[in-house]
Amino acid sequence: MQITVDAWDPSFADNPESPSRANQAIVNAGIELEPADWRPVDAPASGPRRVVVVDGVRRIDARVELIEDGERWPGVCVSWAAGAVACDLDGHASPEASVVEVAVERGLFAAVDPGADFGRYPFRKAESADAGELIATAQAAMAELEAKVSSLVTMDAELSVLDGPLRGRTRLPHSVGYIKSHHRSYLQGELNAVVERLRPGQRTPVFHLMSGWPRYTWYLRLPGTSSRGWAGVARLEAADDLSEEAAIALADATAAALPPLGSAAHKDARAPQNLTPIAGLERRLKRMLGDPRLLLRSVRAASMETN
Amino acid sequence: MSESVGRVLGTEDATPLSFWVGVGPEAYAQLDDVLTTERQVPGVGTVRISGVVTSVRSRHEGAQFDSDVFDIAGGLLPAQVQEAAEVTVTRVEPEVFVPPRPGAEVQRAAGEDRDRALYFDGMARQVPLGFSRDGQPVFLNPDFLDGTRGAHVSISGISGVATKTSFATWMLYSLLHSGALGAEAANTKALIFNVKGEDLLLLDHDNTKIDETVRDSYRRLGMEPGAFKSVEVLAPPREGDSNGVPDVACRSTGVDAFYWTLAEFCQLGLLPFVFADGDDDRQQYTMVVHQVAARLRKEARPKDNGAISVDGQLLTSYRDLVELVCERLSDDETRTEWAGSAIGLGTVNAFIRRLIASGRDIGRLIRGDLPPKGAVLTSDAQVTVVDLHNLPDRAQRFVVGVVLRTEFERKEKAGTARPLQFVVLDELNKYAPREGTSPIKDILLDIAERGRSLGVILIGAQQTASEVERRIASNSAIRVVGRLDAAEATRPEYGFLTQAQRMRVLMAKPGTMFVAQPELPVPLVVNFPFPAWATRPAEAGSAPAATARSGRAMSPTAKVDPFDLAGDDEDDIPF
Repeated sequence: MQITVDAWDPSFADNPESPSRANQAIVNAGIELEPADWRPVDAPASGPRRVVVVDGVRRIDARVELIEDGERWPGVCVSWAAGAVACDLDGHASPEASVVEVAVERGLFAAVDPGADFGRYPFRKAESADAGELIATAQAAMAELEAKVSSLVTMDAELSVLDGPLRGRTRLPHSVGYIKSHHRSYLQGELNAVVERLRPGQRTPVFHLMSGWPRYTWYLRLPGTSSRGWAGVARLEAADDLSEEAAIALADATAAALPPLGSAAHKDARAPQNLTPIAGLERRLKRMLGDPRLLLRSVRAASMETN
Repeated sequence: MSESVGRVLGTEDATPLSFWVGVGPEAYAQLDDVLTTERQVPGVGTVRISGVVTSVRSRHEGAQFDSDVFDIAGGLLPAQVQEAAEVTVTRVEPEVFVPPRPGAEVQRAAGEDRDRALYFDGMARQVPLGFSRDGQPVFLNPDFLDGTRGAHVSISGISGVATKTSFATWMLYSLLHSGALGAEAANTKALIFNVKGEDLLLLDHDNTKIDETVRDSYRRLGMEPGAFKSVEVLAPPREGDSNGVPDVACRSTGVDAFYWTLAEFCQLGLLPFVFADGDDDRQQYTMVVHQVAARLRKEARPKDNGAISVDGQLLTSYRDLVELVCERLSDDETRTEWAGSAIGLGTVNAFIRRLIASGRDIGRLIRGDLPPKGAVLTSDAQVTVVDLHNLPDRAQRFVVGVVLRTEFERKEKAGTARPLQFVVLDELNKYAPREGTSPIKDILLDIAERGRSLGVILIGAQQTASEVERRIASNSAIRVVGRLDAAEATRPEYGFLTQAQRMRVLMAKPGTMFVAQPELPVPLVVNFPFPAWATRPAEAGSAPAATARSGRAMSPTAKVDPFDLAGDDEDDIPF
């Protein structure tokens, strides 16, 4: 088998959008308040003291082509990392945020096995040779690592914020999924207007959402430069198997704990939704992914050996 | 194995001369710690690189903005506190100058490793200097002090806080009592000029204010705490006293007066030292000074008690001499003989004015009414303290100049460097200023340049090394710096200090000195122990018996305290 490495910068073709599945969304707005009574909900005075935030990063280090018997198969070399930050307001001597768990993995995603040792990148099989599918498989691998990290750290936290949808990680205690951007609007008419009316620190009542998989969810506005429209609004998800009371308690906990974690616009382009601990964690994780030029060189060296 | 401190950093360049160490989470490194690391060099084997910590820093890793510190302290942003230490390499062994490898483990050097890093292992003899920050002893190689490979010490620092004189006496004590000089120590002499207060007049009295910790630090350095064993104090005669009683308040035994007879003054040609001010040198009358001195040498006939007669006229005091000289110079007939030809009247008058003025300052030192003492320093005492603090500036210069010249000439004639003669002189910037010339500066330069082979070792102290004659400073093998003024610390004279040390000298505490010695590329920071001898009357314990046996106990001016003669201080008043 012959392996070639694309000469151009792999990040040009990195499409972070995961394939969207346009499922029909079924909303039950009457969990906490009747739809007619919907109004912004204020945060409770005190919230959790120990919050764990879990996040992952992923980077395509190289695109390769596996050529066998005249047939060409695309592949991607991907590095990903996941880690957790514990924000402990009652730390040893003072409040402290510490990275408690970090893991880095790499892999070569392709539909066929190159049958050779590919440096630091062990082979991982993808379902199809489609470029989008390769990325999705890598994304899934990262989600798996995130789940592994969160299962190690969330046990002693009063609130665990997992970046992205909660799907597949619903068994972790006190966990919420944290969605920064809104590709779809799940609420209708008047209820959407409640989201727009949220002041910083306020949340919408908890509602139940069934779109592909069931969960409790609510919107929360973080303090930021502007509080108009949907700016600074994040959506949170809680597991479907919780009781309604437990879901509402979690919603209150997030409303108390997350607004102080919101980042400042001049420090983070994704402010305020990209939480300060996540920004710090992502910087650390990206550093741990290693120098992309160095990795690209190792990929090239490995591909030379296989030829 | 030694304690691990961390690893060589890869984010900063490591060079064979300095490198950075990432300090491990459970470790620490402070300034002046001695660290060591190793690397394998193909074909050579293990190369050990050792050095001294010259800078330490800590920072938040993961913080991008200054304000991130509040998020980090508030428990919002994860960041790591990382400490790093800069090591300035002192020794590479064997001498293969390769940088340490990033990631290499760095250890705190202890025991033999530390001795090797600081070259203590190569010192056949060691003079204890005190302790470094980590409480370990620091040594000086006496080869660079006794003339074997170098000589002279230059101590700089601002007045009061830098403890220059204390360090000079401590160094002397250490040299004489640590055994570094061996049997020679007994014959080694020291001459100390006391320029301010009566600080140095009680060197042979135990200090009653020191506690067991101080005593213990002396013992840890390998010597017994105590006062100097054999000290003689020379003080000028009291003003207006015809018996030549020494002008000292704080002690009564072991004190002698120093003065010169008129006969000595004329025979030895001491007149130029009356005009040893830097200001005098720029004037025309220097020629007159030398002419008059020559004339006096020729004309003066010694009489009893140091008096002289000139042209049959008996002179018994300095004032008499001044009057005679003035008379001769004012007289048109004798002026050419005394002042030399082609000398303007204005110049002669300038000389006369200054000569008359000097009568007040020098009068009590030049006597025609006391028996000659011979050379001032024929004392048996090991340490001779010449007390100048009561004297006006012109008289101080006169004494320093004459004493130094006498000593230097004596050593020159002896023709052998041993036994050594140490000279401790404060305010060197006054006696050997960078600008101008003076008779004292000439002698000091002579000592600096030839003293090493003649066995005259200068321990000079000054507030500002930048204002001292360059050749004196550059001839000093050992340079010591205490607290410095900020502007002074930036001058090139302190180029031997590292960048960080230049900042540190600005806040050096009393008792902390930076000592540069030729073998070590980095000055060592030393805390020297509190003096075990009294530095003021309130601290003074009893004087040792040896003091009563002063060098010149039979001297007519020696005054003995009658209570000391009783010899029984246990007895109370008998009623």
